Amino acid sequence: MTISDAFGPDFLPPLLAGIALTAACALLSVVIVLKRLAFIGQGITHAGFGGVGLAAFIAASGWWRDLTIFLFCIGTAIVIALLGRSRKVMIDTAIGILLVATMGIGFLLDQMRIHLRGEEWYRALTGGRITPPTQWDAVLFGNILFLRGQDVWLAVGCALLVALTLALLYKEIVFFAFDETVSRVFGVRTALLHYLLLIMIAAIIVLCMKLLGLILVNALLIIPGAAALLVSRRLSTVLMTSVILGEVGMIGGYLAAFGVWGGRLPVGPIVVLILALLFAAAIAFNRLRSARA
Amino acid sequence: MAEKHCCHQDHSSELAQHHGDDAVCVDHVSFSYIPGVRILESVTLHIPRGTRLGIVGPNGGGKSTLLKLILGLLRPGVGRISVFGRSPHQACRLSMIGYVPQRHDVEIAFPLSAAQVVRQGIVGRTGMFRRASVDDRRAAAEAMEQVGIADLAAKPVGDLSGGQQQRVFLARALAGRPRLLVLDEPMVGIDEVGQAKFAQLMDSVHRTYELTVLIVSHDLRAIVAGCDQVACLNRRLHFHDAPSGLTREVLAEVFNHSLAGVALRDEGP
Repeated sequence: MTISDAFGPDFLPPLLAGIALTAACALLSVVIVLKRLAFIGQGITHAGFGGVGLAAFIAASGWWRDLTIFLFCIGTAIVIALLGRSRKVMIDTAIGILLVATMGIGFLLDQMRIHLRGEEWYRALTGGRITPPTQWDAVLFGNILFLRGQDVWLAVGCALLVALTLALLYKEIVFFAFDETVSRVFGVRTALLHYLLLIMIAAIIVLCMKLLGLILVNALLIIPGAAALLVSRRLSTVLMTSVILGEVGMIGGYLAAFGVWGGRLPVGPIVVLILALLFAAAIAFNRLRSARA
Repeated sequence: MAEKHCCHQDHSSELAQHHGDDAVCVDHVSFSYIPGVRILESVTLHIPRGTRLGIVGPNGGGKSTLLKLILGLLRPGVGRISVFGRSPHQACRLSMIGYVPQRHDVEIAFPLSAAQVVRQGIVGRTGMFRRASVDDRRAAAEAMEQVGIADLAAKPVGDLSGGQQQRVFLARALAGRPRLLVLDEPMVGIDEVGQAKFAQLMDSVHRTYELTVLIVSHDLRAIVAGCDQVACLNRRLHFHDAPSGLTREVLAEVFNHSLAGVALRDEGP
């Protein structure tokens, strides 16, 4: 008996996409935690709401929708980075402001398109297309079953690209995360790495939107790395542990939702809760080990 | 040789001119973070190759700013800086500068061994998308031997003592085989025995690696211990070329005297 016989043909593709994206998130999360980019990640995920609203406003669908959201996230990330460099505004202030502003734009644009339907210029803008009402709960918490067909290959491809980029720039990124200023003196192209990391985070967030939703994706971008750093102090072990913990959460959540509850419960929240429990276990492990030492 | 580099003379005839013998040329550099408030005022400083120069001055006197300018982390508002005839930025890209930052508390959780931190020193030399060459990895190992931390190689850097961490950072700076070594407040948080040991170490490093050394400190003793020349910075530069034969005691006396003078001058309106 194959897996498809047991759970139906729709069981494997979303799981495959989930495993690939989780691996990429888990690797990135180590960098995010070490470089203290967690709050920037929050800023970019919330910018996703603005992107969703904008995509609905211009009636973009399919890949155009994904691209619109991605570009909106990237734009927000760049504005955050520029504001942070200006010295006039603290970076957490900049993120705090953009986080709410982009969410506001998103909801506003989504509402406006309904009222503008009769307007001549708006119909010219959208070419008369009307996208269905935005499913905000899916945007918030994701629906992994939306990941199918080409999405799966896009997810796998992007995850591989992120892993490859991290592998090729490993020594530079580690130095950058360890001490940005000093790495610059030693010839590391810090501005390039900074924007590259933001772009990778934004791309992964857009792809993970269907997996976990914009709110819960932060769990995958923070918890695996944070937990792994409590378990080991060797970077190679940390990276491996992070991926394993992420996958335990992802696969465990998926199997629980479909195997145990027959798909009646959403995957995202279960994944996040498993990850949170793993983090608690990592803290306990860390305490025990330092108590023994 | 001494007179040529003295900043008190009129430089109009050789404005922004690079001396072939100089490792670092700072020409009439002014800098301000806030418009109108100059933290550096027309600073001119030439460091001949092979010299060990100490820059000392009170906190807030612009030492770290001058350091950041020489390291290419800031750009001068007015004036020009060159390191071995290149812009500081280019010099960094070419691994010409080794930098030992102020020993901030290393992130305890950061999962790197001492050897991994030292090997960061050859990252720029290796270049992106590449593996470090055998030569460069050997240079990193030699640097660890040189500063006496070879036996700590596998230890997490967060577990090391302050003095050991500083040696790790010195080894990292030497691993890239730089031509200019820059140290920021190397003696902060180190006891007197450690300071004497570090001065000895710097002596042997200077001899082995044929370096130009630039040390910045607010602590006179840190500078006098291992420098051929001393400069005093408090917004403006008060530069003293010390002849190589000068004893440390005399140097300390001269230096103390001028430091007092600077402090008095700056307390005025």
